[in-house]
Amino acid sequence: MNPRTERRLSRRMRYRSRSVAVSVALGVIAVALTYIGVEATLAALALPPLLLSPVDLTEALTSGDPRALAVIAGLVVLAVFAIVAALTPGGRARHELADDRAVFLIDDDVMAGGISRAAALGAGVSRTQVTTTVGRRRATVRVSPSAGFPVDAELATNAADHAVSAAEPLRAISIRTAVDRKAVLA
Amino acid sequence: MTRSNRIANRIILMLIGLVSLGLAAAVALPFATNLGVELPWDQAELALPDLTQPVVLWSIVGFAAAVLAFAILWIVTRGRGRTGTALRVEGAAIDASAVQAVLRDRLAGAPDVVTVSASAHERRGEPVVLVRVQARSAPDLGALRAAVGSAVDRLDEVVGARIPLVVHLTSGVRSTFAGTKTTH
Repeated sequence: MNPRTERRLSRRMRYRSRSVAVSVALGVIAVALTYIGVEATLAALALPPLLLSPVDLTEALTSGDPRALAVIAGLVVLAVFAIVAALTPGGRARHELADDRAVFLIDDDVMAGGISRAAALGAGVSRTQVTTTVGRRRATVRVSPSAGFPVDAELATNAADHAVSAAEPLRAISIRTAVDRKAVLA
Repeated sequence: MTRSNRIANRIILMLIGLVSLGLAAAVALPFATNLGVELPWDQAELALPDLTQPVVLWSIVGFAAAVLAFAILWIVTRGRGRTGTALRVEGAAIDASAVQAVLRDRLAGAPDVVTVSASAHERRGEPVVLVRVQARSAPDLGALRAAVGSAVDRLDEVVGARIPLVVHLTSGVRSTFAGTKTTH
């Protein structure tokens, strides 16, 4: 794989596709246009309308009829949904790992589990006493110490750092450890 | 890993958004005048075409049918690009399931791996294999990374060629229930 293809594949894996959003928006438009098309066909063939003929429909929409407010609300909701989906990056909680053979990606929850495990071992507490949140550039480790056994935050940070560097993320992740003031009976 | 063009997705969404906003503004115009807001133009100038004319009505039907056809075509053609073949060499093809079998065999003893799956996808005429490695809930990151790396090396040896790979270390329902393996 050339580096450009690798970059493209990595990006596709790290960002959500907008296919579903487009399909939903097009589905809504398709339903609305089907109704308008049917009414226009009936009017062109001089048949009675299903609900409102095109003339009555435009009359209702242009005369300030309160029912038009529902149409405005529907259109604004569709517009906001579509514009927000078009502009937001839609990143997934994943990190790319450095590798010269393949495109390597890791989910942030897997990374967080690994960091928690290492921090627990480093701090000398059980795995259930550690929770980790992984962000784009940093991971926050929370350790609840066992009652009567103070925890050395630096040991936990070093162990977590070591685990992260063993995974070789492409973009460095800094570790911050917070030790709870309340201890648990473990 | 599907073939859909992501820029096209966003362009279509933006167009839908702007057109809907424009239509909402047009429907809201009479309310603006009712509320006493002075419009910089005369509303009579924004006259709609005569909707009693058959030509106008058939044009609306044609437009609606065209947009409907595009919408249906767009929706049903999403998610394509998956293929069974991971690698094509002269006169032979290697299936994605063969890649999966080699990786599964190699990672069967890895304590942090719950399961491995591989699927091939067509990217610009070339197959790319997506390997999903489901890890246990609290894996040893270094060991997991090394185990998957050596499984990929083994795959290269077995196949005798480098198949383009995307390796995804992930979790799933089975990761949650698998628990942590404490004895190796």
